[in-house]
Amino acid sequence: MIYFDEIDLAVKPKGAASYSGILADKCSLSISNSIQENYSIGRTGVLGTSPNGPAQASINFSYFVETASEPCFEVVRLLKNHHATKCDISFAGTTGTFYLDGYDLASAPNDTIKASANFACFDLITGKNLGKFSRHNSTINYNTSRSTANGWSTYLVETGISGHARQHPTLGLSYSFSAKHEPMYCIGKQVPSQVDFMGAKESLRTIKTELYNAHQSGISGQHANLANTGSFSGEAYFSPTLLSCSNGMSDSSLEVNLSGHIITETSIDSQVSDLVLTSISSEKYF
Amino acid sequence: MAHIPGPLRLRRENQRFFLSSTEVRGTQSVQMSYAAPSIPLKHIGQTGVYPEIANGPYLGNFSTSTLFVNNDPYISYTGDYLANGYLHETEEGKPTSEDTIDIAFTSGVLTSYSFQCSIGAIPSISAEFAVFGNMGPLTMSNANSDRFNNEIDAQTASTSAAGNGKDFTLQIADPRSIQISMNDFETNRVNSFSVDINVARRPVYGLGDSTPIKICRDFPISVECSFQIDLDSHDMRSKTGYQYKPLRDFPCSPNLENLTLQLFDHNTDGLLQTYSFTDLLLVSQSHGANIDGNAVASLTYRALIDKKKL
Repeated sequence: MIYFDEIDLAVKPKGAASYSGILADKCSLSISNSIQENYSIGRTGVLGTSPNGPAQASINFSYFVETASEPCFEVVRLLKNHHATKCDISFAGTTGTFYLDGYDLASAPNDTIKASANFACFDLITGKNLGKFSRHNSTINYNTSRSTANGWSTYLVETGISGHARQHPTLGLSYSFSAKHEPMYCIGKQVPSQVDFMGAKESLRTIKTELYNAHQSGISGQHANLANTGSFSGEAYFSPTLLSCSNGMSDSSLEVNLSGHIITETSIDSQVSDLVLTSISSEKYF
Repeated sequence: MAHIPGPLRLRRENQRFFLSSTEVRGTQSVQMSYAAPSIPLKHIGQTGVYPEIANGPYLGNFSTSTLFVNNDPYISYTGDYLANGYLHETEEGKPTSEDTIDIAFTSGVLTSYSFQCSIGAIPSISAEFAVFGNMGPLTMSNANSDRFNNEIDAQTASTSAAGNGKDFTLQIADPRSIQISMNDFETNRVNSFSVDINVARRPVYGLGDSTPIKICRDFPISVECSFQIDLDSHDMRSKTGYQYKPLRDFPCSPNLENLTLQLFDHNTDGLLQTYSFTDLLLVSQSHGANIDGNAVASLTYRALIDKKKL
């Protein structure tokens, strides 16, 4: 039996020179195959089982984001630019080639920013020491950039709204990206001959103290430019917490371009002993 | 007697406490604490190093107790007004300045206030503040307060003008010079009383800032007035004194009272402070009898202050 600090979790996107260690507090790898039971007339009980679909694996992990070293978001960035990509993931001595299913990143006031990623593997998972958990076969470095981020250093800059963040405060922000990959199987092969990137959706949910209408056209809304078009544009910046320390640290903010988002839902929530809050959801498709 | 080398310990005569620009005379104790929101970063693959990362809000607390001398410096902070506090270290008679600050806090909001008085004791006040600004040996650059400079200037001016800083007109109330107006019982039966005000605060934090955008007061504000009174003997045909109330009449016939509390200077009888609360609901009463003294009743009344009663 080994403890969590005796294994590695590292990601290497396509084109990257080496694996990057992930500051994960939780990781789960699941390997499954589909089988079908076979029955026959004239026989009691089952004849046996046979394969009924491909073997697949999925891995998901949640982790503290290092803005200067965020390989999972690098995958998102490539997919947003329609560059089909895959990445190698090493976990507890296993390795596999994975395709991004979903990526979530959330920032709340005062809290350290965490993200979670979900990858699918259509090929086989391999391991260097079969049956034993172990570290990666070369040294993985963690937290070398010292660029964990916090709600203190998260900024949502909305197009058309100027002024200090305190004038139009954002009380919460969650970003998600989901991608659809399609494996192509052919007769005579257990694993797909190719995996195609079919499309992706980017979503943003922000919590504000003002009303943002969701109408794309028609009646005018409360919030000038945004309400009339129902669109949402801007940038979200996730900066390292230490960037404000005047220690000569270079700006390695993680920047998310939100241009072209359409507001899909606005909900106004109120409860006793709390502010009236608006939750705005917007989406963009790729 | 053995000679003890080394510097002298810091004592009360070399400390002066100011709330904003005003020195709080009669301060008995001051407690300031602050916590950095630090957690160890634990992750899969940890290589033996556990760096500290920031997670959570900065939390500061200030608590104090003071004798009621001249006025009540804390009651006005039950509103939305922010307070800065300064504990200076200075020689007796020397003025204070930014350089003499030993420890200070900025942007404190009062969360708890208590006024107590009993026979044989000077009325005293306890207060607690939640601190949302900074705390430490603050300067202009790190005070996190727009008012910091003005208040330090005002303190310096007043302590420079005050000569040795320890002579001031002492106006103090004692139990003899306190008047309680309440229909349920007579002032001269009260052994002790307290007024407790709890002001719930809810800081609202936004992204991009470690300081709250707004600190909301959570209404209603609860005011609890507790009295311990001697009971009159009804066998002696006395018709005065406290009569127990049937509390099960609530909510059909609630026992409501108004309270006015006046404190006078025990020397000059000049009025020092008036507290007044309306619609106090009797929420609990208890009876105590023992072989060593008089039978006493403990009564607790509560008022809820909403925005209309401010």
